[in-house]
Amino acid sequence: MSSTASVDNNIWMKAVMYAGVIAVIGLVSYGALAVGAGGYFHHEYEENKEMYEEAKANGEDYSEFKEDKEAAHLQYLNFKVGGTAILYMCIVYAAFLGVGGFINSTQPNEEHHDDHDDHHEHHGSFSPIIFALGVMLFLMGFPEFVDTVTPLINGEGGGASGALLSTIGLVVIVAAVGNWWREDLPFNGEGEQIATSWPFEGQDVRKVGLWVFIMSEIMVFASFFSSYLRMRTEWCTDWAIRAEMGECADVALGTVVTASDLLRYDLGKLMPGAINTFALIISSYTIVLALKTAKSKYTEDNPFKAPKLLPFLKDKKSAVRFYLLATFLLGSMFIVLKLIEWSHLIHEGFTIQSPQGSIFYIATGAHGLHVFVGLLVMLYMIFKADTIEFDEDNGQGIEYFGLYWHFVDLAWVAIFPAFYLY
Amino acid sequence: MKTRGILIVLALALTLLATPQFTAMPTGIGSAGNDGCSCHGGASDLTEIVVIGLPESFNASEVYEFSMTIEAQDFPRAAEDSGRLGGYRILATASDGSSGGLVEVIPSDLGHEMDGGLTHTSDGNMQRSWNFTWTAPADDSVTVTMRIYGNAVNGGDGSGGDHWNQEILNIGGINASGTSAPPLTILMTAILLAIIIIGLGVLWNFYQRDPESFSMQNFWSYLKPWLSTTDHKEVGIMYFLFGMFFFLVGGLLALLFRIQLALPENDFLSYDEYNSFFTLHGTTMIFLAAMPMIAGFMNYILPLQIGAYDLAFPRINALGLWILVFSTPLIFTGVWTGEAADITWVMYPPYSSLNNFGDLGNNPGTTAFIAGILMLGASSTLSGVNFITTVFTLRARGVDLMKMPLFTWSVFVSVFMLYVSLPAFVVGVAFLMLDHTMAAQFYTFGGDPLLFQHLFWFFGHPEVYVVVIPAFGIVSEVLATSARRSIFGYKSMVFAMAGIGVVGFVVWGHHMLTSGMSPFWRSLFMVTTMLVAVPTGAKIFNWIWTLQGGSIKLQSHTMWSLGFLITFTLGGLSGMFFPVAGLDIHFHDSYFVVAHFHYVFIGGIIFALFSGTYYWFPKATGKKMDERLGLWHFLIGFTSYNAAFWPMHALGIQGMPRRTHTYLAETGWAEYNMTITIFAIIFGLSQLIFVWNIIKSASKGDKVENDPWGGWSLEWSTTSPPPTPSFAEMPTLRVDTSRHHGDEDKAGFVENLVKGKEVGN
Repeated sequence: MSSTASVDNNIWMKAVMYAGVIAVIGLVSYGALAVGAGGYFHHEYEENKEMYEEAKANGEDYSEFKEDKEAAHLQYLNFKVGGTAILYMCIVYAAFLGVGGFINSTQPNEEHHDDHDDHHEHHGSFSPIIFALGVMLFLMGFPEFVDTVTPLINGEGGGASGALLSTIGLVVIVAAVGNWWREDLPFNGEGEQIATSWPFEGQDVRKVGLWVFIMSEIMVFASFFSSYLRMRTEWCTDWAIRAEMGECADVALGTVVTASDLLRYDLGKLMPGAINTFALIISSYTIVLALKTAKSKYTEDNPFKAPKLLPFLKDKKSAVRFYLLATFLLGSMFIVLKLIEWSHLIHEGFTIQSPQGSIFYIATGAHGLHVFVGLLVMLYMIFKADTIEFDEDNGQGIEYFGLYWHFVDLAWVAIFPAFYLY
Repeated sequence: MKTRGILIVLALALTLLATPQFTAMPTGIGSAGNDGCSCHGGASDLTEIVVIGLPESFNASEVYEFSMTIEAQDFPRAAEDSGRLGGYRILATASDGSSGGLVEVIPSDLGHEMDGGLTHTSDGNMQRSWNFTWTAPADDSVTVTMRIYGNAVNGGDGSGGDHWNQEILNIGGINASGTSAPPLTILMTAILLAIIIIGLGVLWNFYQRDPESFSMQNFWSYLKPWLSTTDHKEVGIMYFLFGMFFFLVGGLLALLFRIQLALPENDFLSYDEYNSFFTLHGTTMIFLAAMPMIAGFMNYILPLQIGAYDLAFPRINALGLWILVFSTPLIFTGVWTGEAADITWVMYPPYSSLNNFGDLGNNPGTTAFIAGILMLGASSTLSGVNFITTVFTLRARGVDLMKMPLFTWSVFVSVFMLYVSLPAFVVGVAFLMLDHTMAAQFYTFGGDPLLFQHLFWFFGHPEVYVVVIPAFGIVSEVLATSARRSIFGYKSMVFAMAGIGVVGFVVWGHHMLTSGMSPFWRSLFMVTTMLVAVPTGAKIFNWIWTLQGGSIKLQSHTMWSLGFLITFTLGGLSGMFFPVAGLDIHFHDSYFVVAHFHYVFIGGIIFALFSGTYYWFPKATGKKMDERLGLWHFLIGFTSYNAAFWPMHALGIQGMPRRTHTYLAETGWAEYNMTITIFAIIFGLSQLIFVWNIIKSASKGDKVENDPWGGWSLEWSTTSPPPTPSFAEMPTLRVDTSRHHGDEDKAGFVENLVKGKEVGN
């Protein structure tokens, strides 16, 4: 648009370093949780299983062993799935930062021509066309991708060649997004578009755009809810049977099992969802703290006052970075807990291959995808907070991301009761 | 810059690397479409099917012996003792749809008949090589297609890790007429040729500019700005050209199946081809032709009319365009890999959502087609954000909401409708996609097929207004300018469009009147649907009143708009039959429906788009289109169009169903159908005049000033073509364009728009 801060593209090597750190964290977590702790509980499960089978064969009372066996298995699932989920997420994060950062660091720096002869040069961008190409490649290979990745996630192994086309698509998308990031990184608030007309005169155009976008998102989740409600009113759930509703009067209990039937009676199973609810609400608060800190006007007379015990809050830059990182970690925790919870449901035989499973996994999964996309954006924002810094002039970027993030939280607050408790 | 180029080349090279893996897939891209084989595990080229003994051509009723062997590289003789080694399935079909002869396995207890083919029994599961006999059909003038599937089993529990593959053999009878080029090939060749011609055309256009310094290096630096542009005018032009191209592709598809329908009991197209062609015709015309062409006008004209320097989010705008462009290979991919999607543009499950069992509706192209539709949804959402935000925030000083030109208003209303309704559609189609790829059960096996109809039509009905309302906007601009006065009843026009926008959301049930809906809802949807006629009627009267008393100047764009008035009114009248639930039961799925929506789609939208092209072409290129060619285009196009589509009403009343592959001679529909086909071809050919006119006028047309027609809105106050950014300084609109101005106000009107004094009422 107009002049922006001058940024050396070498700065992007920092993103590559981040990627390395994230990859190591992922591998260590996988080793500790999935292999270490998971292996321990798997061993325990096998032992209990042996004892259980022995007791069963000898005609003894085996109920205790059975409980132990089940408990050990669930613990095994917790650690195994948790560790694996962290590994996969870290791989995606690392790939996102690493590929994007590497490509950007190899780009030549933009030349600065300060000839102000009122000649508006038209700046194009290759991001759109590359991004669209990537989406096409990803979708072209999507069916094969699903077929290949599903056994991989289930730990059944098998060749990964089927996922090639989609993976290429994803890498192309990352390259396009990385390019977009490079174009955005120097943005320091100069040239922010301001609305010129009623009813938004004086507001940032980006802000209006985000609210309009959220309008579409509301319709997306409204579609999920209305589909769910339509399907649900047609099912003879236990609830409908007990209420002796119409056609359901003669149906046996347990004919239709919804996710909430499996989740709501057992606090242990409900826990991941319940924790997630609070994680998201807290993360909404931390993102606001990040915005508040970035936008606050600290001067030499009015320096940033942080508690001495908290070195990561020592100045504005560290504080913004910390709050963003906290939001990021809470969001990541949300995804991990969600996958653990899914693994328990799948263990109980509640898969996507039933109408109840379909709507549950896809509606909550679509929400999870929104969270995950938000996390990827946040990854870039943490990088920007660490390099260019957010301040009074460009801190609104956090605000606009925060709008999206609040919406995702709000959607969860509606999804949780509807799919977990109702 | 160099690195970027290298990266693009690398990405393309990787794509090329990836290509073999989907061409190597037995049924093309996607795991769906094992076409009658309940094969398990994944399709893989690690498994090979070797067939020995089948002849190249067959004699009638002769018996041939052949053998089939599965060679699995990755588990050569896995689990010898498990008793699970491999399986087969053989389907023989003749080219005319009759039986492809009888296939039997030796000994016969190794196989049994299932779903029209021969499949192994559990005894047949223990080996990887079988012997068969094939009794050729008695008719030796057909070509038999043998589909032979082999499934190599790794012996493990479950189906994980198993691999299957297929072999397809075409065996012609000795009297089979030489394999004529199937229409699919003709279509593909035509499209590829067209793409090459467009490429060469662009190259030639560039060469012509400066033959001296021509080099491929320079060509890239000419092409590069187009590929990376974010300017609303260039994006708009690309949208329009893209839409124009697919308008011709969709037309070609229509002509192919019109040829099929010209004669009773014709077999020019096979059933599958017919189904794919009308599916692709519908989808192409709505999503790839009409909407992109409208998007072209929206992009080009809207920022100019409100005095903005560009759209609110130029990069996102370009992203919308390119996602649209890259969705087309997915939508058409089935045509390349064998069988194209045949699920109609409405994609009703359960037919469209069956999976894994090789059922109908599970063509290889269908999954890719659905993925392409999802991309279209993404594209429209992105433009939606852009246009709504632009209209809200970037209007110049003085451009109040109630002073916006009607075209801008129409775009605003239409984008708003699209934007709010689209998510339901995208979610519905995503469910369909997941039914295909992840074996979810939204619509089949206990799922609810009607759910899709609700989600689809909640979008689908607003969608028809989404495309027609911008057409209203174009016609309003054109008629007012041609009558040399501003539009009559500006406010009522705005409220009429907004009214259609609101009522349009509560009428979707009239598409489902025959789906078993309760009488209460039927009558409710009946009333709301009829309500739509009220604002539409008000608009028609306003247009007529604008013309009344004006000194009309007949130009090409005027004539198309006048044509629009006639045909759209006729289409609107035939539309009033459908909301009446009783009548709808008779007319549902008949040619009367086809007649109705072609009258509103072509007679409404396409005519208005023609009109808009003639009208705004000088603004975009600085040159006028040829009026003489325009006249011929109108005369031939308008008459042949009416001659082609009017008889469809009669056919519908006589009971001819839509989407029918053929019909019997006794029905007496042959004459009408022949007439329709002849005039459809003439209508198709008349579009070539239009295309030629665009190409010719772009280089040789008469040069024009800022305001060749005497328009009444802000875009005429800037140069033709406008500069980039479109308004370097924000203009101020000083004249109330929403009031009714007559010809007497015209002197210096456009100049006064921006800087001048208030012109009297």
